[in-house]
Amino acid sequence: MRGFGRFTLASLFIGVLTGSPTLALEPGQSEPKRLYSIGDSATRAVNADLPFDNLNLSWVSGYFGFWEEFFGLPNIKSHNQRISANFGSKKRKNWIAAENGAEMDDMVVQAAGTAGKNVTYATVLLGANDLCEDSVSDLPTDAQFEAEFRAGMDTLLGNLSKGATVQVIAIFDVTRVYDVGKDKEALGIVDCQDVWEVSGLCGSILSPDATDADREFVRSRNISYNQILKNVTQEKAVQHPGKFISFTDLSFTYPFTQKELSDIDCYHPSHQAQKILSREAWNAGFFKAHQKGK
Amino acid sequence: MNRIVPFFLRMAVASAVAALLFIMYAARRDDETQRWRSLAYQAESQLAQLKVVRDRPESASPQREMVSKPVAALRAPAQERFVPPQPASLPQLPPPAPSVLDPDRQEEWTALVTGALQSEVQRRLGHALPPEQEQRLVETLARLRDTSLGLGEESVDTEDPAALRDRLARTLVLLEADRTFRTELGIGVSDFLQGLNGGQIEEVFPVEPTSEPVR
Repeated sequence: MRGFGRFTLASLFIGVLTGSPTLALEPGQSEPKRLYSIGDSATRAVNADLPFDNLNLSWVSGYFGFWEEFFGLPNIKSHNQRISANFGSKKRKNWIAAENGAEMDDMVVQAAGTAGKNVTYATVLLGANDLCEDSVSDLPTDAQFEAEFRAGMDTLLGNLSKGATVQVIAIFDVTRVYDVGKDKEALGIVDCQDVWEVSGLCGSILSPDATDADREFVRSRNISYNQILKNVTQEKAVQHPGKFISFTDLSFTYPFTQKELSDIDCYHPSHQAQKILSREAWNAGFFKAHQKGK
Repeated sequence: MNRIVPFFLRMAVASAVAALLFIMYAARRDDETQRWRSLAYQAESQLAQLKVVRDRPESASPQREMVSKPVAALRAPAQERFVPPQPASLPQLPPPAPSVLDPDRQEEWTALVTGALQSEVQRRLGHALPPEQEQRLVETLARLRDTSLGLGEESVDTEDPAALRDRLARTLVLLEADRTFRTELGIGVSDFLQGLNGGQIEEVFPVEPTSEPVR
């Protein structure tokens, strides 16, 4: 026992000497160097700065390398960047499985991609598109949504080894997009409501035909889906004691403003929003003690 | 007491081994990092120049020319069905804050970007760009650079119409850069930049570029 104590002390000393971060992890937790992101267009940072995908600006998988700095592109300090800053860039992996338009019933397929990859940190941000159907009558029921999420989590957790970390992020407050965006006409030329009308994005909330009652209904579904995400995540955390599974609703409660909406489509998160989401999710998760690269 | 001396001896040995390993590790990485340091140094020099020049008050005509194009030509492919207001109804947009490199630095910047552009086009399309097209795309990337640096400034006063117009004008320049790349190369400028950064991210389900609105 004394020998073990000395070994621990020596490890601590060497850890301090070499800057090793492993001691600050939870006991049994793996370094999150093998990152895998599950999600939709928000995770692909669609229209966050340039049109369409801006993978460099993804809140979780984004990067800021030579060319991004060279062209003056934004630096959103993603989880990927924070991992390298805190745990080193050696043996890093950064997979993105997120697909534009993905709904919760796509989670099983996205999660299945973790097989054989020895993923040590996975994030899940899905469900906004389930709320954004053409009509409120098309939204999935609680039972459907829960079954799809449960199946996705089972697939994901079945592929991850002990020590892996999983963070589930609540769906944004999508009706706030309408509340904030309808006044974004102050931008001068392009009225966001015109953009919504022609783009057809999130018809259940943003279509000219959508009523306040529709939006109220969608918001109630938004809250209900998030409750399902929270409950199932907590249940899975109990069922998988060797894995580090958490949920945060900061993505829902954060009071985003006009500048956090894309200047291109008035719907997706802007690069400022991606930066905030990265910071808030990181600080709500298991790695909040690791603040290098923030 | 008897146990303390061996303990500190072991600690000293462990520390020495750790230090040696660290030095060996650093030395092994020197060759690899030297190349990146060189690239980073070039970038820092360029960025320092950009920052200096960005603060200069003189105006630049390229941006004025860009912003004065008909809005229809600046439409994002993402909003293909979107019919923007007619030019006559638009307020006059001020050009984005000018930022032009001095000739020598611009030449270096252009050389580096031209090399990257040709290399990436060769990799993706299997052929070299004709000089005129190359020049057009490099100029587009220069405008993208200037505009992105301006947009990178965090705070925009949403109560200030001039600041909002400036931000919108810059956004339109980004859209125009994207449109130019899609027209000339069949890929968006973001796809192009991602290609330069090969290896930063791995797509589990690679997607084809699209011009449809994305949800």
